[in-house]
Amino acid sequence: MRTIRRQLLLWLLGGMLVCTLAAGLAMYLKVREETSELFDYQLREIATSLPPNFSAAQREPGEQDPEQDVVVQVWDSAGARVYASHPGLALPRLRQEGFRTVREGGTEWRVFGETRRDRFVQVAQDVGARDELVFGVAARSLAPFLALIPVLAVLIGIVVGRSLAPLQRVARAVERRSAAALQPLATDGIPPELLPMVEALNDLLARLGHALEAQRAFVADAAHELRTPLTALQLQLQLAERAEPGPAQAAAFARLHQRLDRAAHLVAQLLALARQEPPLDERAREDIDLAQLAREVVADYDALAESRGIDLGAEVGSAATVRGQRDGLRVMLGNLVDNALRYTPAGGRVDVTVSTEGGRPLLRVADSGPGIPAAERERVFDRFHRGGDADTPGTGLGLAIVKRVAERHGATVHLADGPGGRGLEAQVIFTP
Amino acid sequence: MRILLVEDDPMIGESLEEGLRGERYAVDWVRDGPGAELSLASHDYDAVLLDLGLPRKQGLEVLAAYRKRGGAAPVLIITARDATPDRVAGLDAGADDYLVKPFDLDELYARVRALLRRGAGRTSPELSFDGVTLNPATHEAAHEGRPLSLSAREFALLEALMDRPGEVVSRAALEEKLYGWNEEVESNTVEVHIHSLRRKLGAEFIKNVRGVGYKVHKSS
Repeated sequence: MRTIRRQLLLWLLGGMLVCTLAAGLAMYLKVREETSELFDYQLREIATSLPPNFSAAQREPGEQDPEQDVVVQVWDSAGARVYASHPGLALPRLRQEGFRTVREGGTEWRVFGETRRDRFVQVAQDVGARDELVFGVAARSLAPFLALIPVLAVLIGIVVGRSLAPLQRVARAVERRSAAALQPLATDGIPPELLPMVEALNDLLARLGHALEAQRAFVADAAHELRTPLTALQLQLQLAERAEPGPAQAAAFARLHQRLDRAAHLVAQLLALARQEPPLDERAREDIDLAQLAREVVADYDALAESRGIDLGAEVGSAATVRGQRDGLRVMLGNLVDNALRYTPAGGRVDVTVSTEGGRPLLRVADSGPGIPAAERERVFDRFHRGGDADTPGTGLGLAIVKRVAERHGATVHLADGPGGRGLEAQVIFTP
Repeated sequence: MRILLVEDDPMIGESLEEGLRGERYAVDWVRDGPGAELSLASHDYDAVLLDLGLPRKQGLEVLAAYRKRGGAAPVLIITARDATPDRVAGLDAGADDYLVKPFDLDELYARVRALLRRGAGRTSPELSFDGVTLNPATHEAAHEGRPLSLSAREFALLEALMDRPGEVVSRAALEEKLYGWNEEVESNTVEVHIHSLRRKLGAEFIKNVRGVGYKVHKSS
């Protein structure tokens, strides 16, 4: 691709050259025409200034003609030549008055003839010599134009260089950056034409910075949160190794398994959250029957509910279909049900409800657990936030995943009091 | 030696409690800030293991308040926060040592022993008094150069007495050093162990100060 600099130089220098040459040519032609007129005028003047009775005898004293190349001839009324300034040159007499260009003896002549009383005066000039003079005059008038060309060329070079300097400054500033340096580019000294681009670039850098920061925070949080299950795992492993063989060691290994399950669960949840990070691609969406989804998830968690003595069931009020990603929605509903089962005491009840309200598909998970105080309901969606009860094991990621999946599907999540003001109800409201 | 364990994670707490009991420490385990403050106010501990991220009240606040009240027990912070500013803040708030999760049980034990040693003003890893030496790291005891076979409770009792030679330790204080909250205290247990120790070390080694308690005493 052509650089802007080359493009500018090419067009400016080329244009300048063509214009200067055209102007020079026009000037040359004009000067030539004017000089030509001047010579004609001079010829006429010479003819007019000759005395009427001019003859060979009378040669005007002092008129040692400056135009030695001017050939003067005079004829009388009878047609006999009475005077010739250059006796050796016999130019034919013009038949009419006025200017003519004639060719005689291989030379072109500019001739002016005029009848003065009874005589015919004819003045002639060598066109070649005349052209030489004309060319000399015109060429001298061209000299300034030719001198102008290098001056303009240098000027154009400087201006183009200076105008493009901010562009190069920006390019160098971007070039020097490391991948981690996302501070905005300086905008002072940037011309207005370039400012939108630099600002757009800064805007992009800022957004990139936020995204990187969020990513970094997530990784740091994740690494931090992984320490807890890993610590529990390491401690228990060492205890199990040292335990007396027999029932004590068997119990120690059973605990080791619990800790391993917890670490694995945290890793799975982190992965689930990371998978929900990029925006949802339209191609990945399909029509999903929420009732079907609810029945699947309830079936998945049936065994867990039974082991905890909790009555888990699905209630489908009306068919509701949403466009979305099946895996994501399943993870989301699974997390809601899992949370409900975790916090609901034995003998409690967890209901998954599918309905449509005002054209909006609605998914609800209600439990008969202790609920969450209204003041705390916003914070529980934060990553790694854990409820006040430290005894309930959890990763603190469940609701963060729920929120993320809902956001990707354009849905909103609300926490409200459960049925009859008891427990907690999580509502996912989809857009119609 | 009685240790207060402050840890909110049930799994880590469970393992630490079990591990430290295995090392013959009396362990009290609390899971939140207010619980830790209550325990620190009502018992004397030989060492405190403190997690920083606690429910309801942060570990550093608990520590600062404890030191402000004049609490002198050595404190070992156990936390997942490993950044230098966190360590500095922890030590400046009054902690004696700092251990980052995840850690090795043996390292924890060694640090606890070092804390207990420094808490008692000793520099040698062995306790030695009047011909009797105890090594808390290896649980080995010797009398006049001969190895001595002691039960875990006997060892702990002797360690508590030899920690402050010549000082009288009450029966209740000895019991506190032997049993954590959840452990059943057998009646007359201190007397039983003292009796057993006297048989192994000679009647004069541990002296009974009637109505006050026990002390180790130079027999000469």
